[in-house]
Amino acid sequence: MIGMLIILNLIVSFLIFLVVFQIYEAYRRNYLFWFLLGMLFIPILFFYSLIEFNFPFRHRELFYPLLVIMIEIMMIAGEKKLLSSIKAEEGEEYKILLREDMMLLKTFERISNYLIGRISPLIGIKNVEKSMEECVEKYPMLAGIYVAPNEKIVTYGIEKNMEKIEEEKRIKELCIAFSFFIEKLIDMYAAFVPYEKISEDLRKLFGRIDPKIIKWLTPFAILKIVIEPILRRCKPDELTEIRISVVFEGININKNGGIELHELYQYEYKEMIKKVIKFIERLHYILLRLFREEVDKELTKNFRLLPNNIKEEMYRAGLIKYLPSGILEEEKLTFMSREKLIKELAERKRKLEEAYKRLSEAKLDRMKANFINIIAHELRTPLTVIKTYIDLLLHEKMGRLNKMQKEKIKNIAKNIEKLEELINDMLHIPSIDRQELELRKENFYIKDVIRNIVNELKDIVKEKKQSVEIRVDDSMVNGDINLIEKALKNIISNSIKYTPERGKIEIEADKDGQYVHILVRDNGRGIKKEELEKIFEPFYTSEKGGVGLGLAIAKSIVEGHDGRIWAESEFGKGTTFHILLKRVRK
Amino acid sequence: MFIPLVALFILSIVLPAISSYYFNLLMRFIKVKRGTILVAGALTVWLAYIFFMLPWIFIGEDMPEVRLLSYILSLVGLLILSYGVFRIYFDWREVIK
Repeated sequence: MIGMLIILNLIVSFLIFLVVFQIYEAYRRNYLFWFLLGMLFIPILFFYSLIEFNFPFRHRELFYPLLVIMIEIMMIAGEKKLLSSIKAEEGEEYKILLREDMMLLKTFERISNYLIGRISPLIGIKNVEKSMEECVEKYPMLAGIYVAPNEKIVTYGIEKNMEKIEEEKRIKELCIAFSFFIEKLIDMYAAFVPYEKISEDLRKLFGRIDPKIIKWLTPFAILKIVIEPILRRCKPDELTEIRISVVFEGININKNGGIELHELYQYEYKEMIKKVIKFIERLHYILLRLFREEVDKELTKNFRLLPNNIKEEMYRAGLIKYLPSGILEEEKLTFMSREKLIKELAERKRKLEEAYKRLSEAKLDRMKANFINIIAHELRTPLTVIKTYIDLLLHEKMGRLNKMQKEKIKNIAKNIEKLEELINDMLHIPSIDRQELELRKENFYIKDVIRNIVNELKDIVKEKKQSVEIRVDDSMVNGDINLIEKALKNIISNSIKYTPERGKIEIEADKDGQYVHILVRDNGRGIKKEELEKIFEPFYTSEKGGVGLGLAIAKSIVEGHDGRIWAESEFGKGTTFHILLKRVRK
Repeated sequence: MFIPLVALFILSIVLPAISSYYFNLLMRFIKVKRGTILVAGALTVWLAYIFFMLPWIFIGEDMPEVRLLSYILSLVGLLILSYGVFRIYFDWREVIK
């Protein structure tokens, strides 16, 4: 038993080693090598265990902790390597593995450090720290942030703060706090440097942002790179007019023309984009009034200068098409035609698939119909010969028969009749020949047909002690009376068959627009939902011994008369068959 | 050989603490969806190891019953680990192509 378990452990651990080896082979990272080495020691440990268990030797227990220590050292080495590679932002795993919130924090850190590096020679690092303190006071999320002697911010405290916040809120709060901080830094920077220069710096910074988090920075980039340069150039009286006219929830324009959008991050992403669009719309209206069409050119130029990753996100979020007219018209056209093309392609694909499905179904149906037709006709010929000989035998034209022989031949004749009936049924399944049907069509009262059928079936009804209720109006139908009778008989006899003794069958017929609506309702055992779609298929039967043609024939006849047939059922409670046949208006 | 054994054993149960410290640090930065599975697997194997070593330390010899239990436990742990490693393999295969 123990030996078996050791072997099992050995196999599983070796399997783990193989998978880790596959991962290492694919990515060839330094840290993976250490993990791989650690994983190699596990099967070695079980292999040693297998030897030691079968051939015990002195102090064999010492090797276990030794091997375990080896494994643990390898694991720690791997973890340390991975950690340092992530901290150094090396390789692909930095992008792949880093959590979205952490990646966002690193990005904000990079943007802040860049701006601090530019501002500190102008105003001194003390002033930057003072501004940072104000931000921390307003947003405690930033608590713990400080500027290191190399004039770079240290965000370790924020990492810890983030742990305390719920995962869903983490990104939002981080965005609110940091964009507030960055807005302050930009404002300070703009006091010394023309905003065009800042806008250029921001473009470079935003161009390097990973696609994984770009959506969080797109509103910021649009407002800061596209809109703010125009506002910063406005004269004080123009800016006052703009500020008075554009009062917007979540976005604020300060007295320097700076856009404060940090509060926008409290909304969901879609809501945020909507608000940005609305803000641009409202601002565009005022700007048009102040600067005429020139503003459209300026805005379009600024939009085009946005880094590609931001532009892609704008396309993805569908933001371009909602921009006010006059801005990015060419891009809108491209976007619309791209969207239209995609929609058109999808629609064409759907239609093609549908047509293909219909074609294959029709082909299959035709094949089925032909097959049944051929089989039925091929069976009919020999059957006629058999029937003739049986008739001759029964009438003793081929010699006298004793009582037993006569009885057996009568039995054969009875079964031949059944076979003939079945073949006739099979011949009815292929769709009705409409030209032929037109010749046989006549006007008749549906009530007469129904009464005939019920009369024919009264013996079975009586035998099963069932009750049949008929409520039929005097609607007239145009069609082949024999075929319609056959269809209705199939349905009514089906209801009688599946309704238990003392059950109830109701037959109703009423005018329904241009149709006569015939209902055959029973309180039998009902049909299961999954079977309901199949009951009209030829040869589908839920009962052993049944052929499954009755309802298929009824469907073929009704549809041949441009009518409709369907069934509704509640399993265990009963079934209702609905038939719609075209009515003759008197 | 009691003292070296105990020393090695103590070292082998202290090292996972260091490992888990680094693991937690890693989890602050990275998103490894199967991190919990890996931890659960590793913890089970680690428990199996402790069980395995106890008779050697306290009574100085092997106990078949404890050995059986620890092998069962380690098998469970390894199976959990293998599930986690497989899932990581498939996740990564999708991401890095």
